[in-house]
Amino acid sequence: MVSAAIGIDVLSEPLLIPVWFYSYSAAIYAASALVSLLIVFFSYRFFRMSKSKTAFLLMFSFLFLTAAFAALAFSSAYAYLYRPFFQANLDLGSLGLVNSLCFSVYYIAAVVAYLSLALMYLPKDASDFYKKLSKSTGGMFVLYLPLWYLDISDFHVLSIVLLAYTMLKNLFNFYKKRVLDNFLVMFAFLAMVSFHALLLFVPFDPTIYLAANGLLAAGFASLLAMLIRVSGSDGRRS
Amino acid sequence: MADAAERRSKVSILKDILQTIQDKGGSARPTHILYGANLSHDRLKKYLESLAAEGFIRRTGDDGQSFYAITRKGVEFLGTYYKMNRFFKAFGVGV
Repeated sequence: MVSAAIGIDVLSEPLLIPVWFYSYSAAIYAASALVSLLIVFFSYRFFRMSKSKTAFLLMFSFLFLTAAFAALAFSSAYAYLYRPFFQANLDLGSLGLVNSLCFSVYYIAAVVAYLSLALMYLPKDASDFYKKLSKSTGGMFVLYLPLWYLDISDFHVLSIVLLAYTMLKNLFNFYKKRVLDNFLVMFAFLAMVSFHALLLFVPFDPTIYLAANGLLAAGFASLLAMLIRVSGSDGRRS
Repeated sequence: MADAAERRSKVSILKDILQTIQDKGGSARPTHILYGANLSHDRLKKYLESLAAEGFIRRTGDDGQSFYAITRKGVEFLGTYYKMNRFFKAFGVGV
């Protein structure tokens, strides 16, 4: 099996991920970005109609998630296309630069997205406190966490903490309502939490990377199923 | 933020007005709309003017016996509202 050490790991160590898998992971990340973009479109439609803050935060979160997964898709596709050169001489060349740039975009965009999602689910008092803090620091507070966590191993831990809050909110929501739409969204966030959790263990076994990507694909397929159900509905009172 | 849905949003009030008119068979008197949408007279007047200006409703009849009828655009607005509402409910947030 052809393997590559292209630094796709999260702990800033070179890893051995099968190169052939980058074509699959590029497709998975691109599909995830596309589903995120569909959610942006849905949220924007309602935001335009209502000027609702919730709609804005959902739109904002998934817009950043779209950017995050698009960056990962580009990085994976580049790694796959770069394969012949890489196989010939183990010189990273521009691959290292592209990888580093894409992952920087991914780290920042993903954390901003997860922060916005968590903010959307925060109780009003906590949300007001966060707004005041952002105002008093001229918005710099919003950027502080992503920049601080940039390119270090704690990125996945932070993502798990932020997403776990969102996932738990959705879990309680599904428990209360027992509606399939709620289950699909809850499962998507569960899959995203699992994706980040599994990536922490990739240094011990690179095949976990495949499982993590599979879970991510299942999560976004779940969101897509929810979108299909909603857009296929007759638009009557429920 | 998700728990702060005690106050009806503007879009929710517009939906209530349009839904009341549709429930009355597509055309309703201001008094029926006032009770159906649970609004004061002044606020109702403001919202009806806004909806008419957007083309969601049209006024019919004379001054003594005026009715408001929902237009095709108004029906489409209702459909979009309920779809969007379902979408946000899936995320467990109110809009």
